[in-house]
Amino acid sequence: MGETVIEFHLDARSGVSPYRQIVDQVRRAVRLGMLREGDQLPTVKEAVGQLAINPNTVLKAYKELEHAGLVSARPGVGTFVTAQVHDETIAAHGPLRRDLVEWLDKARSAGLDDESIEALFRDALQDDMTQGVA
Amino acid sequence: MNAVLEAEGLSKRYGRRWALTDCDLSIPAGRVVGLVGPNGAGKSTLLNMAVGLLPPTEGRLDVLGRTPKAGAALAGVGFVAQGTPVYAGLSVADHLRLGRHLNPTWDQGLADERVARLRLDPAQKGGKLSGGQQAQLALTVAVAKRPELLVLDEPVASLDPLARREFLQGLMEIVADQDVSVVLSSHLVADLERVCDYLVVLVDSRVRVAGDVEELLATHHLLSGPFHDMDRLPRDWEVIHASHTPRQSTLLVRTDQPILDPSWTVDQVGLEDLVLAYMSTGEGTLRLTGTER
Amino acid sequence: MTWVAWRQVRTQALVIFGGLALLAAATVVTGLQIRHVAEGCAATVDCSQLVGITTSGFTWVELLLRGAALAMPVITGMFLGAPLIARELETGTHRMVWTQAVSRSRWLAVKVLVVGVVSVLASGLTSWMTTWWFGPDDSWQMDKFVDSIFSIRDVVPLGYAAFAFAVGVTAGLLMGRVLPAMATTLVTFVAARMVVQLLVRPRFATPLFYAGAFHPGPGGSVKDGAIPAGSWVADGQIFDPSGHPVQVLRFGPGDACVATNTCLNGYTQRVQYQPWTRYWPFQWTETGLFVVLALLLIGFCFWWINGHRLPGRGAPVARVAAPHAAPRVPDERTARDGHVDGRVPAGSDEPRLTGVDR
Repeated sequence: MGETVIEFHLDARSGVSPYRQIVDQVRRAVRLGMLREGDQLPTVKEAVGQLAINPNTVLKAYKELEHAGLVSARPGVGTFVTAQVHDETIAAHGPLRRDLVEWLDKARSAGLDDESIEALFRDALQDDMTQGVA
Repeated sequence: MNAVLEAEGLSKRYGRRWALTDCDLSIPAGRVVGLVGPNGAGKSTLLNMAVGLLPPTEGRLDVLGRTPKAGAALAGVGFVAQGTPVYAGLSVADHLRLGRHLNPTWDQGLADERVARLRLDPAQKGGKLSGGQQAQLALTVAVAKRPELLVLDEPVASLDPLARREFLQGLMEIVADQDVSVVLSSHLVADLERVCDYLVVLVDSRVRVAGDVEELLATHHLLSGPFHDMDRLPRDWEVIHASHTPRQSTLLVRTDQPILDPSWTVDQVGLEDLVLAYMSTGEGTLRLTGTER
Repeated sequence: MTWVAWRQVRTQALVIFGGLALLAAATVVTGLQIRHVAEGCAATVDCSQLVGITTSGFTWVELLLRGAALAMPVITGMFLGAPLIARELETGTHRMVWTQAVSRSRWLAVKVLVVGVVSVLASGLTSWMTTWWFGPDDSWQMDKFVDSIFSIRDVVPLGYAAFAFAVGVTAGLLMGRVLPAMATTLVTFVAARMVVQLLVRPRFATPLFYAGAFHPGPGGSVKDGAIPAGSWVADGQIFDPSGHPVQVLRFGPGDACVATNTCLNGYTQRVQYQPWTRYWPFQWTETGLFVVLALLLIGFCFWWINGHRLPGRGAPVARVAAPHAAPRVPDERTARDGHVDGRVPAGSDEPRLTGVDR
């Protein structure tokens, strides 16, 4: 049986749901190599004992990670890391990222500050989403 | 899923004051249910009726499928009363012995294990324990009878933040470990936010809203936008709270449908704000702060 | 459950029985000495002349025994009976114990039985010691109806103990607080004892009646002359030869009749009395009366505890009400009383059961 190698922590003020925070923390740990294949995640009991959160929240996070193929549950034993995150998505989107950086340079030279850029981006995104729904 | 607690038209009157009015509730099994409401809203009344300490004035109440009444009917119900009372003159070990004598389903191993893990001295008298330790002891007595339903009345209200956290940690470990449904009350949403997956809001002796926490969060939206005429909002919106300035309207809306009108900025609402909105009636008394979605 | 009941009363019971053990030691040692003196006197003189003399060497034991025998019923009533339920209601522990898998009736039955037996036993032992210690004295002392003897001998103290205990339990149940319940127990018990002693006990049996010639007893009293010694005189009156009631008889050496011993010729008396043979019937009647009262009270407690609103302060109010760091939801009760669905707002009839929050 593997030894527990990470502990979760929650930021109550972040506005991000506890379940999402757990998922993100596992992904990050895997990505950073803190969690390797075969490592065991904290048991549900350990996790709720640390965080004082509903066990279903932990279960839900683990299910999502399992669904994503990152971990697998062995009934009665625990949940173990099964794969590495090959962050192909971000890598694959290198060209898009380059475009975005170019666009940001343009926006700055047009005199927009960070806040305006964000508002503009959000506005466009929302418009796009609304049209998508409609 | 069967209900651990079912109430129909449940009411309780003290003298001429109604502490609980026409309460309809069906609490599913396997959940951690938060019962929130301001002081005096009827939380304790409801919970005390649920554990057979108070008889209802009107209506029907079933807990684990039977009418709660002191005795065998309560074998499946563990209760931690408000203020987490323990016997000042009895030691920790005596409390466990008391629980063993009074419950046929008592699990001494579980009790001993919890006492050891909490580092409670078995010889320590109840009156000498700190508030947090008293609460943990009361919880231990309630849990070691292996209940199907655990009822806790304001268990953390009198505890300091650290003891509060430790108590909830212990409670969640129990939930993770055992097949037990939990109903706990608090006048502070923050106490319950992380631990509950089902919420009942009680205001002025009435149930204002009850439901799955995720579902509540998913169906409530905080909208802000230019002034809107309230009469011309979509039919399926239930406006929980509204405040207006001549130029701007801010609404808390409950709807299953996506918000399509682009003139609204839609924010996600936190559980605390959601509950506060239900607690406050009328308009404009509350400033809601959402997190951007 | 028996263990639970015993565990909760253990400390008080040990204190009481510890005190009784010390008293018993003193009683046995001095009581044996008294008996030695008494045997000596029986061989020589009329011991009835010695009433009070045998015990006079041990005033402290006498006082202790009298005090203990008189107070024990009310002590156990106050310290074992009153807290029986009141302590639970006061600290809120009834909510822990009543939500276990034991019915309230069974809980109460075991507590009442265990603690009640302890209470009655304490008074029983005290009475037994007292009756034994005063035994020689009592055998010469004919006035066993005097309250200071009647009420601390034989079985009557057991009835008192049962009654005081029941009063304590009932007061505790109705008041939900220990100290007021103890005070109520004291007052109620003393009042009941007085009423029974002064108004009820004389009526346990119709007094016998004597009307006839006046035969003064020792010291010229109305009794002992014509009626049996040791009787309890309820009412007596002497009349002069012309039939007028007389308060005081005064004859001096100057009176001629003294020499001829005829001063009382023509005087009559009317006396109502309870003969000494009624001592035991009266003991049992009074014991029975108090036991019946005790049973009625306990019965009431059983009826009340199942389904009545109970007093008590529940959660420690001060602790819950203490300000703490976390933000509080405004207290809606104070904010909105007055328009709670048109109902009359909370008033003084608000029960205290649920403490801070209901």
